[in-house]
Amino acid sequence: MTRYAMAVDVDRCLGCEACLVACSVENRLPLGSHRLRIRETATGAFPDVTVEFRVEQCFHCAEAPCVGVCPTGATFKTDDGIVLVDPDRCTGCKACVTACPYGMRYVHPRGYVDKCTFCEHRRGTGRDPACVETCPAGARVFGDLDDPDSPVSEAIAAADRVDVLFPNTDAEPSLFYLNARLVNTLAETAPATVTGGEHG
Amino acid sequence: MPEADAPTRIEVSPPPGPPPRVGITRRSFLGLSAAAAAAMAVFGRTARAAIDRLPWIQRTDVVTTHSVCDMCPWRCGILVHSVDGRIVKIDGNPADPKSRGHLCARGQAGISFLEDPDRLRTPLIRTGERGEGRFREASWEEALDRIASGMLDIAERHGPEAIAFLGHTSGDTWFVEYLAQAWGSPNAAKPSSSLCTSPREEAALLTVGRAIGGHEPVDWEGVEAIALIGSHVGEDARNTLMQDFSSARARGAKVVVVDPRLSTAASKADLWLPIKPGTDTALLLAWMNVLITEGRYDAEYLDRYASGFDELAAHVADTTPEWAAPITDLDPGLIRESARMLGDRRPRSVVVPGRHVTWYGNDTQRMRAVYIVDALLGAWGREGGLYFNASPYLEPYPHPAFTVAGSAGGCSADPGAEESDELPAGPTGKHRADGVRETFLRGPTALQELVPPMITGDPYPITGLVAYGINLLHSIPDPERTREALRRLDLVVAIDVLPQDHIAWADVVLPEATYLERHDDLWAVGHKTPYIAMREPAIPPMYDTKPGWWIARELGLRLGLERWFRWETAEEYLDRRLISIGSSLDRMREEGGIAVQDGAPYLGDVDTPFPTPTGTIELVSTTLGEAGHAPLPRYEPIEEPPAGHYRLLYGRHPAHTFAKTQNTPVLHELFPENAVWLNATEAARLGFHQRQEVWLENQDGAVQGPVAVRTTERIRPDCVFMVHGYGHRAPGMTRADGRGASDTALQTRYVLDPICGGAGMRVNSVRIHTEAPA
Amino acid sequence: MTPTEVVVTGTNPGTHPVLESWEWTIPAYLFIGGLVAGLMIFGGVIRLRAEHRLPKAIVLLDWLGLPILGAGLVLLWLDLANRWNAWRFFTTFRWTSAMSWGSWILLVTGIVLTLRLAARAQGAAGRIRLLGRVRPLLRWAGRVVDRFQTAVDVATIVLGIALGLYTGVLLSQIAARPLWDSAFLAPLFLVSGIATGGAFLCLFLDGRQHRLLAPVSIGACGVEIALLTGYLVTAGVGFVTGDPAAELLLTGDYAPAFWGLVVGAGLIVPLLIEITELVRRHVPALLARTAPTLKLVGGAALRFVVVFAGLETVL
Ligand SMILES: Nc1nc2c(c(=O)[nH]1)N[C@H]1C(S)=C(S)[C@@H](COP(=O)(O)OP(=O)(O)OC[C@H]3O[C@@H](n4cnc5c(=O)[nH]c(N)nc54)[C@H](O)[C@@H]3O)O[C@H]1N2
Ligand SMILES: Nc1nc2c(c(=O)[nH]1)N[C@H]1C(S)=C(S)[C@@H](COP(=O)(O)OP(=O)(O)OC[C@H]3O[C@@H](n4cnc5c(=O)[nH]c(N)nc54)[C@H](O)[C@@H]3O)O[C@H]1N2
Ligand code: SF4
Ligand code: SF4
Ligand code: SF4
Ligand code: SF4
Ligand code: SF4
Ligand SMILES: [Mo]
Repeated sequence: MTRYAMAVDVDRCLGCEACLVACSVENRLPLGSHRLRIRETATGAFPDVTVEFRVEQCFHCAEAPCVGVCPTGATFKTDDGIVLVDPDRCTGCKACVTACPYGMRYVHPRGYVDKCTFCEHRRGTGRDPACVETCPAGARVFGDLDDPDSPVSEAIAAADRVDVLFPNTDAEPSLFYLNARLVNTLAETAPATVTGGEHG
Repeated sequence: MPEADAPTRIEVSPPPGPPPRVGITRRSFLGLSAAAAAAMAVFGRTARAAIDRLPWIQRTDVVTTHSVCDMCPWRCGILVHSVDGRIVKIDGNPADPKSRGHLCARGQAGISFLEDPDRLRTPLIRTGERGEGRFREASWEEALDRIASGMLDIAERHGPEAIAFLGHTSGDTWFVEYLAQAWGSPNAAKPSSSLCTSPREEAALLTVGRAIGGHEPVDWEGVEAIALIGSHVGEDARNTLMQDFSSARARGAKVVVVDPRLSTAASKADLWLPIKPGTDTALLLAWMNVLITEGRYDAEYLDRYASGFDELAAHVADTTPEWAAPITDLDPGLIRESARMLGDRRPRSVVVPGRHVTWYGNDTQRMRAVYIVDALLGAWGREGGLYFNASPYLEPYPHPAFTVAGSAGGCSADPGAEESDELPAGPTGKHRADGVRETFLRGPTALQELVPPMITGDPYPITGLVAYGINLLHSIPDPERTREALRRLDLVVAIDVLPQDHIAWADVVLPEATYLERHDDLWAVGHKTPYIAMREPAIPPMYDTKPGWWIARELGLRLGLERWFRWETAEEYLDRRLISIGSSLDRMREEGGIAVQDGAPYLGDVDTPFPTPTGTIELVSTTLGEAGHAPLPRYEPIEEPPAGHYRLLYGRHPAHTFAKTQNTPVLHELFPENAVWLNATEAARLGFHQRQEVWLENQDGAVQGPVAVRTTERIRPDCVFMVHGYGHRAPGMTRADGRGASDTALQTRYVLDPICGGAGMRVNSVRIHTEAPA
Repeated sequence: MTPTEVVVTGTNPGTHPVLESWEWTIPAYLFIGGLVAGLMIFGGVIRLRAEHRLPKAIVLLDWLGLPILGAGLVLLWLDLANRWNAWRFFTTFRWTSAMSWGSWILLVTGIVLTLRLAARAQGAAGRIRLLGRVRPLLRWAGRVVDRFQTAVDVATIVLGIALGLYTGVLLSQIAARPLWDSAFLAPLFLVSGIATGGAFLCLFLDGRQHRLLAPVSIGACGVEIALLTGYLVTAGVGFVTGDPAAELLLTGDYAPAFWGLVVGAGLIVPLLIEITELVRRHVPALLARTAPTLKLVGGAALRFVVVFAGLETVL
């Protein structure tokens, strides 16, 4: 079996936003819509401050809570572990948006729900997802979790620390954070600013 | 300063057309048939809609063009993919030594920059007052004729030197070099020299006899320890640097970051030294002290390659960490520990030459101190240290000698180019008007020093200005002075892609095609593996825009400079240059737009590793000594901000370039306005809450605001930080206009570097108000 | 406390950090759905038990059931981001999806209520000229309902219960919102639906009929209070932020609406009025009308508070 997964080395990530823009361009997202976001957290008092960038996108959960709630089957899971939305079947009822514990889905202005697809459309081309491909810091790896020799399995095996976000949800995300310092150790804090939703 | 804050608007009145007619005319008939054609096109489009849903990457009709990114001056090699004349995606060119298949956020956003609906679309001729922003549309013919006659008129009255050519972005070679040199004005300058890299270039020439060049020669692959002084990698989002920094860290290299602010780079560092701004030279002297007194330097290397070690050792005998601690506000233990971290990994240990280094006006000396530490570490010309970059072999297009030699420098400057002692003079014998040799010693033309002659006529009048791809009111300190100059000039030409603030001050505005729609000259990049890169258009120019080479040539022809413009197209020009090195345009295309040559990176590869006057690494600079400057860098305190003021620091945001991308739709929404970083304890003391609206007033009463305050633990309490490039006053830039605050507007002062002519811009400070100051 | 600063880049409006996926139409629909469910249960039971003292309950159900449900469906439909894809609900049945269950329940409920309306209209057809054209259809409906009276009533009750429960399951299925994650939510919404359905009836009943319903009404209030307590105790438990979730209702931003409208106006005050009514056998007419009105307000408030506060809670 194939289970596609991504790993993001949080220690490497520079929060440079290249992945964010690459995703928007590759997937022709309209202004104000994003499939991934970056959370910058700074904690501590000057000069002992820890800063961490955390990219967040659909985790392609093994036990995806968004799949079960979909009334039309528009949201489904592929055999290789990717959670997708079929825009033609989607009614925009937002049950899945509400059900995603991570806030990773949004309503596309064209009336369907959209989210990260792990760049499923690239699978046949032999190319990595657009965000992985462009990452200047080499922080992202993609591959088959069930194949111990895949880049993602190797990166996970080599990491000092491996996290998934909110392990208590039982959703079993397929996106792993490597070598993080803050993930899951801090109570979530309300952001001081949020950008991206402003329509150009 | 009434106009200063009066928003300038670009209003374009349509050119007077023929009077309306009635009945069925040829015009209305054509209109009808056009409507019919449009209706057909709609059918065609619906048929195509299905195909459109196919992701580009799965299509078989994708055309890929090899080119070079211009979203910032770094120039990564790119692959531009288009379908049916529309660009669908830009990727890094894996064969390119800079991009290696990756791109930064801005590089990824090229399509959005291209398709920004606010772009300049047609030539404009001013109809209102300067700064008012009223224009009418004009034909290229009229616009170019108008410029040419204005230039010829000025030349007749004052000589060709009276026209300044200021430019940046990657087509600048056509205007700041080719056209300016053919025309005969030595007053051609780039902001990437005296507002950016001049100090590090001059310091390197003085110390090791080599320029740093466009690509800092850090041998990242083998480095085991690096120190960054400022240099905020990650926010300074140069693609290659982010790659190298990350790989080095992943390999286990130690990182020391010296920055008053916990930058992204500092947040990744093993040691962060939150230094008091402006005191870096003291820290560097303390590092030298530790390295020398503890014997953690490469004695054998210095013996062989350097001169002046004993004097240096004596010079730093007392500059201990304990001496530097109160100056730098750093813990002496931390100073010592960081020096050891570097020293113990020598020679695979580098203090990175920064890029934007025009900070306090004493910057050449600080950069000398950086290079001396690098010499103590034995890094120059060593693996894992600082390699020797070489320029690739390339011939110029065969044309008659230029009327005046170039001295614009810039971050694209050829690292191999030696500076001649002769100052280039124009045909009437006048040399540069920037005060070189009088107010500063040497170096490329100091851009900001060309502004006063425009106002005072001293040493001689400059009455015309060609501004190509430079943001006159965002990039040059003291923008009020720049406005004064713009008010007085006889001719102001702006060649740009966006209706930036300064466009409203131009007499004639020429809309250039963006980098994705045009050819440019070749880039010969000095590098470990020297290479030549080529830009080609992926699509034809949109609207009524033209490429820079075409504009320069058309102007040249009108100015009587035919001799330099014998070539008719950029392709002909490029082909000829490439043929001269045994390649050709076609071959270059086949080879992926990049031609990589062999370099000579290490000590053993070159005959003269250090081509200084003494042929050694000059720890003590003979040139500076002779010119009456300190031959060894000294710590000299800079002026403290007045009480209640915070020193104004600035830097980059990873998704934006200077003041150029704020209007780019996909980048705009990620960071629509800047905020002023203020230490959280200070903010609490002053009673500011997170993101409160404030106004900034600098030491001279210049005001910016409202702008949000970002209260953060990530900065020292004695300074504030802003992302550069915000606070546009350009109504034509509909997204950027009025968003955030301008650091430049608060830089009413700068300190001229007496050695290289750089403008130290971190000498300004601000007070923070909760209401707009009266 | 360690100072912490968070900056988020690249978000989507309505999703993060504040979830605004569902707007007022959804709680309004949930309220209406519950109300119809209550009407159906009352109407069905009264008819089955041949309770001749309350014919109005059946008449109201037959006439108003479908229009009210229809209004709710319009709200539901308005919420869809792709309204022209609504038919997709009926191309499949996904047993894991409360919303899929709901779509089918609503469809069958709609059919049954249409039948009831048609049958009722057939009786009235003589008086209404406009109905002339569809008279054969109405007659057919009338015959069906006559013939399968009991089955239709049983179906009405079962569907009423299903409808009432599903409005709660729709939320409680969504584990990502701690405030909804309680097994008590579905029965709570059902009982609240019965209570609001009863209250709606009461608006049309006279004092005597009203008193007949009072014990049921008081009972429903009691059960609702019990379920609400159970809900508050269980909501979100087992998750990190489970308790803050409940706090949002009890002491947070939603506390005034919760205590004032849901508990006070919707439960306690009507309970007191109805008990008084039962004991004293007489209360001023105005006061008697007040109790059901308050219950309706409370029922609506319950949906709004639970939906909106729930959207704010994250794991
Ligand atoms: N995203 C993005 N990246 C860019 C550019 C861009 O426009 N956008 N421009 C490119 C260009 S041309 C240049 S020149 C570079 C500029 O980028 P750099 O060369 O990195 O510029 P610096 O001024 O060294 O870096 C700014 C940092 O210096 C710190 N600093 C301020 N004052 C002092 C001081 O007194 N001492 C010390 N030690 N640190 C101080 C600030 O806190 C800030 O973190 O960026 C390049 N990269
Ligand atoms: N206050 C302050 N001043 C600074 C700096 C700072 O950090 N703070 N940084 C300094 C540094 S390091 C540098 S290198 C300089 C950079 O100085 P500039 O290069 O002047 O900076 P930009 O704002 O990018 O301005 C580029 C101009 O070119 C236009 N342009 C963009 N693309 C094209 C094109 O394809 N063709 C043409 N014709 N025009 C184009 C843009 O619209 C804009 O007007 O600024 C220096 N000045
Ligand atoms: S591109 Fe890479 S380094 Fe940059 S923000 Fe994304 S994951 Fe982090
Ligand atoms: S992250 Fe959210 S949208 Fe993605 S699979 Fe998990 S639950 Fe579904
Ligand atoms: S919004 Fe679309 S994908 Fe999501 S649950 Fe509804 S129908 Fe399914
Ligand atoms: S995998 Fe593709 S869709 Fe998902 S975030 Fe990356 S680029 Fe976007
Ligand atoms: S660093 Fe980024 S913006 Fe600059 S040239 Fe490279 S890809 Fe383009
Ligand atoms: Mo620069």
